[in-house]
Amino acid sequence: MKKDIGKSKRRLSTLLVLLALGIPSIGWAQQKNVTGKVLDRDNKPIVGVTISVQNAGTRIETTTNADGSYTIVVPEGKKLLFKSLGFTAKEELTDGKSTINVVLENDDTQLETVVVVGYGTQRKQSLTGAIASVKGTEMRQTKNENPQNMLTGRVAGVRVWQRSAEPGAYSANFDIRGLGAPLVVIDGVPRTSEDFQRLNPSDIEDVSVLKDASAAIYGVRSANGVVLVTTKKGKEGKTTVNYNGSYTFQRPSGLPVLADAISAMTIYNEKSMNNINGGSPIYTEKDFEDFRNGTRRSSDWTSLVFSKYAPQTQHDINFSGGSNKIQYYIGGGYSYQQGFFKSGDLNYNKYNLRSNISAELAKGLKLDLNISGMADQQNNPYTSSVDIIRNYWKQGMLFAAYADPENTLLNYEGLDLEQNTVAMMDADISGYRKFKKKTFQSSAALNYDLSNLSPLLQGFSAKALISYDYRTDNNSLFRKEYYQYALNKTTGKYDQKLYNLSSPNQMKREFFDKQQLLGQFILNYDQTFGEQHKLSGLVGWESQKNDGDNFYGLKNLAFGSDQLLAGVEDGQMTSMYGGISDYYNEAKSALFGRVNYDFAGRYIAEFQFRYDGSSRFAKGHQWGFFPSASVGWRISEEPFFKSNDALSFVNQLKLRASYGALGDDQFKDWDFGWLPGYIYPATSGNAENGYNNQYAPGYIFGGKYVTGVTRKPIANELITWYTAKTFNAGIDFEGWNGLFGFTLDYFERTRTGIFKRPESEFPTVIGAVPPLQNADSDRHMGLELELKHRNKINDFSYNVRAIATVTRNKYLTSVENGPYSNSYDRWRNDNLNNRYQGLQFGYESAGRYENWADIWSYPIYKERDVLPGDYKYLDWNGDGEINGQDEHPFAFDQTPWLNYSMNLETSYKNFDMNLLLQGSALGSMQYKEPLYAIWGSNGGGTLEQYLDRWHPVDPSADPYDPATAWVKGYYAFTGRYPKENSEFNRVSTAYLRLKSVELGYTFSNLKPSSSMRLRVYANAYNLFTITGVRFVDPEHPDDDLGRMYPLNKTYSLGLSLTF
Amino acid sequence: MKKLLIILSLAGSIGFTGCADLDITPKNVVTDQDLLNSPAGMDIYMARMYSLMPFEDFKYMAQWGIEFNGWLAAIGIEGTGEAVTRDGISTSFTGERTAYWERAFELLRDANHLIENLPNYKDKFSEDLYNHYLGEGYYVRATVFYAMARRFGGIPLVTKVLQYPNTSENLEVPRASEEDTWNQILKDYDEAIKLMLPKGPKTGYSNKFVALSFKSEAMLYAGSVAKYNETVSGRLTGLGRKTGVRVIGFDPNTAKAASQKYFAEAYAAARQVITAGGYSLYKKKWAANDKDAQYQNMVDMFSDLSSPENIYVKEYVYPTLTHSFDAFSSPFTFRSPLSAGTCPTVDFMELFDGFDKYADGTVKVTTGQSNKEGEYKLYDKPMDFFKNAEPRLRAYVIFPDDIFKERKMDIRAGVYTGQTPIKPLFTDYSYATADTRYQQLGAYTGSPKTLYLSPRDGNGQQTVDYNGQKMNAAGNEGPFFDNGEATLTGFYVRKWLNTNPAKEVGEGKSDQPFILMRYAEVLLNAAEAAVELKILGANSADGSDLLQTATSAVNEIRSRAGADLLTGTITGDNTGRDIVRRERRKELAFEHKAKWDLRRWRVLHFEGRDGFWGTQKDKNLYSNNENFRFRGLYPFFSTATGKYFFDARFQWVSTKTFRYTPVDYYFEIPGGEVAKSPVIDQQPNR
Repeated sequence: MKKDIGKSKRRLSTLLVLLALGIPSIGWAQQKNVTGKVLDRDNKPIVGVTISVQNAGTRIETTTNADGSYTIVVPEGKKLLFKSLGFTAKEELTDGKSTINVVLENDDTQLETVVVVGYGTQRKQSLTGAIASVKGTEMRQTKNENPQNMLTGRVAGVRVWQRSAEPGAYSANFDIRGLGAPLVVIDGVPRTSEDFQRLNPSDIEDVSVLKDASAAIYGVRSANGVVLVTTKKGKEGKTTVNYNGSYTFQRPSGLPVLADAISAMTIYNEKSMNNINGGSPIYTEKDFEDFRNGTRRSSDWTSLVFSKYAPQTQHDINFSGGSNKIQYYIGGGYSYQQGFFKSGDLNYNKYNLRSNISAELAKGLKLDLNISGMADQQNNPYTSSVDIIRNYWKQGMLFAAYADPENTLLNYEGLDLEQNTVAMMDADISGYRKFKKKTFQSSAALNYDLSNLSPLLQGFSAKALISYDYRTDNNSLFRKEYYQYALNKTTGKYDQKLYNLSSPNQMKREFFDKQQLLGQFILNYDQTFGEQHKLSGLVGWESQKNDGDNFYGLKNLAFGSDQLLAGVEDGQMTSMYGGISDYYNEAKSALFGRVNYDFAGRYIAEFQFRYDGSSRFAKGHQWGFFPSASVGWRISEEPFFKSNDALSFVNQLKLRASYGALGDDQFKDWDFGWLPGYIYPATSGNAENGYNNQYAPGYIFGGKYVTGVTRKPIANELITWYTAKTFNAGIDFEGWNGLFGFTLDYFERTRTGIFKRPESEFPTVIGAVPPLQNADSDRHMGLELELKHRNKINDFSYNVRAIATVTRNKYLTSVENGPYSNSYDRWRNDNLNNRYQGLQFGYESAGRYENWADIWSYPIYKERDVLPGDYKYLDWNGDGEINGQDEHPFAFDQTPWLNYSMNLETSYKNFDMNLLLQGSALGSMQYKEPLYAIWGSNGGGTLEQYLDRWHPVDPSADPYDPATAWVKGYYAFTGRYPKENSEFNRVSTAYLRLKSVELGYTFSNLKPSSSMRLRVYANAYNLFTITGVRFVDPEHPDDDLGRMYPLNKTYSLGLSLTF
Repeated sequence: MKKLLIILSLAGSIGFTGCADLDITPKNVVTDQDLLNSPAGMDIYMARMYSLMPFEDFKYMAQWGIEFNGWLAAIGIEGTGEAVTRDGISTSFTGERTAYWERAFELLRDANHLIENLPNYKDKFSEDLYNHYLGEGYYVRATVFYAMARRFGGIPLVTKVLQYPNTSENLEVPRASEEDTWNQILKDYDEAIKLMLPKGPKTGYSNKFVALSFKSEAMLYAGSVAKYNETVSGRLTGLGRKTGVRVIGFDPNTAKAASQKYFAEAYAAARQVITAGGYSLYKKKWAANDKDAQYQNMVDMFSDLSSPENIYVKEYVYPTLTHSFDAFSSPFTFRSPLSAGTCPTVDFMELFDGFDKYADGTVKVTTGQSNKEGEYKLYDKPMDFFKNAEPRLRAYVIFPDDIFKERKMDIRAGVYTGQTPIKPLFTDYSYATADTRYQQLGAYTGSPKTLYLSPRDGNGQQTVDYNGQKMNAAGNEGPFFDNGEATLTGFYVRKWLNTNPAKEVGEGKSDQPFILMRYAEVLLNAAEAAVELKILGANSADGSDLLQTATSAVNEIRSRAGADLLTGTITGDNTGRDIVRRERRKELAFEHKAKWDLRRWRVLHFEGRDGFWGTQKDKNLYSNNENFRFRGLYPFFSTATGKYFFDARFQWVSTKTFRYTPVDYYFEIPGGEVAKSPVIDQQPNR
């Protein structure tokens, strides 16, 4: 019955079509068998391409098999539509042909088809692990000097937290799902985050992120996930030249500035009046008058120290192309960034050069040769930017920068510790620190298709890779003596004084060299059995050696020349840095493998392992085995699913799960815990100043300084890898040809055997450092969601992607802290056993004392000196007074646990626009020292923000007189500060910001005959931010007491030319 | 052929990658084999031990404890009355930020390790040298135990290397009784004295006489504790809650015998140094009846490494191992980056002769019977006030207008423009009104204004017209009432400061040595032990005359100091004892010694405070029943007369209050250590 209806419907529609076409009906259309092959642009067969007959009236569909071929019965004159995820769909008219071969073009916008995974690539649709990837083109829509920052908000689960914009410092926290610093692999070779940060962004083809057990093939370094960066390769065809250039203006994002002299004195007087026993002002009306009429000079330190904006520029050019035998990509780049200090002496420049060449040496034998070089130089004044900013905040405006009205002699009078910020930021005055880095990275890989040797080896290929990386650091630290002046009112002359900490002139040179040698041998197998069983796999061996060496020399200088050879013998010093990151010799070896099985594109299973050995451990404890497995079920490929019309809107529906054991041997203070003995020589801090405020690691015998040893901790021969067990379950959906798609993942990682010293149980009387043990454990868990929508309306096409990740870390066991004297003590102080990371104890707000009536009637016990505007705290335990027992968990720590972003790409004709909104939540920060209170003396530390405070209308009024009228403000009366760990001072860092916005226009037909293409664009970075954090950027950490160099907002203009 | 090449190249890369050797040991690890088998290796091992020694020198701050931290370096500021400073580090010596606990056991392990392992390398050294090194092990152990005992009383006596892992009874060591602790210290010093050479293999090493000298100091401490604990109300002793061991104080039945035993040991050890050590007081520039020579002699002695008085010295060498005493304690105009960290008090000055005093022993500044009566005495120049001062005091303290590093120290508190006669500025100088300051006086705030003061230097200076010229209210060296970086009391310290005007002042620029033990202290140890023995009715073991020894020791020191000699023989009673104590407070000031002496004499808590100055002085002059504080001597210029007058007043700038109760005579055991261990007892009175 049903069938009949279907038939008649079909007939009806056929009739209608024929009528519409106005073709006279001759009879039933002829049916014909069409066969053919579907290939990609590399002439490789594409499996699983859906071929459907258009306007057939009924659903006629098939898919390509393993070698890309298909057969379909087509009514005469119909069109065939070839469709596959990751490729641009294509229509072909049958036109009576019986063989139709089609080449489908990769569709980059339709999400990458091929994804780089550990030691290979996989089709996106057959992935079973939590693997995300992003194209270089998409990353580059955010304009920043650091590719890590370009990833911000682009990849679900990748968290980037930029800490400062200090040129060359690359200060950003970068992790995957909050797991810790990931392994960075560039072009198949494990390299470092520093290498990634210094890549020329234009050279990046794509970045893949292995977030779960799929990383396990990297074994011991995979516990925090793996970032795989692939650089561009040449493509066959004529040479393409591409030039990109941009110029950027940077402005600080959140830099508190000093208030003027009059405000500073007002505030200081208030502070001094703030005394219930009777206060007296410090500055008299005469002092104010002296500043007003110019008798006393003040300097606008803000404009002396900081530029309004700082420039940044970037240029790169690349050439690519090649024949069918040899393809090349050659790129070079230059970038320059200046800091905000007016001297311009804080700046950074970087040069990159890369040559990636692929050649077919013989039939089936391919060579890939990647060589890259990077040279950069970070120039700093001798004083660190933290100390320059600290000093600027501390000094205040009451004393001038220069002693004389002509601004030629640096002033010292009235400055705290006589530190003049203008001198400190200027390399010509106080010296410099220069950090030069040069890296050379190379890899050569031979790929051989073994079927060329014998047909029996069909499906086998072998790859051998050798990589050699070299890096040098060449640093110069030059301290220069300088003099400062003060007007001597008795003599009328300027007293000259050596700024003591600048003396003597000193030069320190440091030289580091580091190298890595790595070899890989991989045997690949890839074969399809029958139509539906696809089996692939690999087994490989990898071996790696790393060593690092260094030395430094230090001399006091005969005069102010920045040459080591101008040094004097007295006080010269040569030595080495002995730390594990500077002086090391390490090796690693591993056997690894993978098996993939795919049944009809529906059921997918993968097994991986790595047997890893590390020289960090004692013999017998060097090797570890790390297996993992994952499965996927593509429901959308099930016959029952496909045959259901109601579900035809679904392009892809996949369930995935993975589980694996991963390892880690990373430990900041690793000291070969299995090895007893002493470290020679012992070291300590502040050696350059004779350890005057630190332990001196030696003693003077016979008039000579003898360096001692450091006794190593008690040895533990059993110390070995710690392991991480990772579980991930996810669902991928895409429907309506991209109108809506989502990916949802749940993840969990449990680490056991984390290195820790059992301080809590180890009796102090032993007098030694307890041994490092595989003792602690913790668990991370979270959710990750990605929503996608793309559409095209006439010439307007757009693409929206929203991602969010929430992650928490829970400590399970720890042997480090304790024991605790009672259960309250444990609750209050045990942060490491069975507790979420980063809970902050403190006081919640109960508002402010609004007026005297409020103070008198407020029922909670208070001190007798409370004033209007003072802070009220929540009596959490209800005992009628505010004390330490009212502290309870009320905030998160500075790491934001929720990260989210939304990316909108649009294009209309030749215009394109890209918006990236990004934010975080579930984090908090504390205002510290200078951002917490007026911090300094002599008018110092008076930041403009502190003017917004409660104060009497009449500055000379007694604040304790109830008749005094008050002006309200954000802060309490000067000299009163909230409890540091209260809601008033620890604030949520939740924010939403327009991370990047870019508007571009492309001139596509500059010359009719050529393919020349010019795009011009304007971009802004960190343009605006919605947050509750005051005065500083919400990402700016409270480390270094909030004095770190600020983040930046940038405005760029650029162009990109291709021909 | 081509295929072969391919295979070869692939095989070659397998061969290459396969050969990474994983057995790599780091290059900077050395073993006992490298260290204990030669004098050069021993230097390194000893350098480690000595670098960790709990020496109290320029890199020790009482408030912070053994942190080897020379930041803000100042001495005598911890409620001893010697000096004050503006910072929070100037507080009573009731505990240390870093308790000497963890670092102590670290060093004990090194010492025990040496004692246990050196015998394996005996054949590498001559017998004398071997014995000496072994003796150093005992000496280090004694030093650590002593440093801990005077802080905590009874301590865990770890006398062997504790092997880990192990059963808990082999890892835990409870606190011993205080008496056992002092006996162990005695034993270890005696072992060291027996083994060590009379002269160490190199300077910086210890020797027999070093050990004897410190033994005399330690035994004096032990004897004093055994005796004077009994004077603290309620007796100062108790049993540990976990162990029942008498972790502080002595059994009432054994206390007297113990104190006699320890005083006898102290006396004998000091006598041995005096008779056999070959040391003598430094008198290279000294000349009889020449105050300037005597003064210069005492200035020089603290930096002269060849001084025959030096028994043990901690050396420094620029730029390798330095301190910052000059940077923090120099007078204001030398500041770099700070100054005036050690400001001596007028109370300290009053210990010395050479000044007119009121009946209560305080310095006389007016013509009346106390400093609120009569008129101020006037002086043409400030130094006239000090013209009879003892040379030793002048060598320790910089007076107003005295010369330091070729610069006249322009110390002036203010300028007074009122008419003569000048009456005392305050009507009340008692402790109760200590918080009233000069800037609150009507003479300063009122009209007509007769008193000029400066809140700060430079632009902060108030000026007065005098003889047609503008005169700064305060001197260039302060004091300034809103800037604690200049003198707080009217004095600066001179002792230990580098005297070379050409020597640069700065953080980490100082390298003068610190004398941890000098002959003068040994003399004073002998003298004090002698009087204490006499009071107990004992005699010396070696037949020497106790009181004669004490008298000549004090006279020897006074003679060198340029002070008046004793008129008779010291008596075997508290009066005689106080003569010795007062001499000790004067001679050993600013050497990190007084804070321990005050503890062992038990004169810091209110009931005992009359004896605070080593001599008897009414505690109510500077104390209430809780707190105590110290005074400065402030010079003022009078424009009406063109002369100076002085006002003695409680510390005016950055005031500091001190407080001490009997509980504080034993520091708290770190709470975490008590919580962590099933056997470590907290002090029973805490």
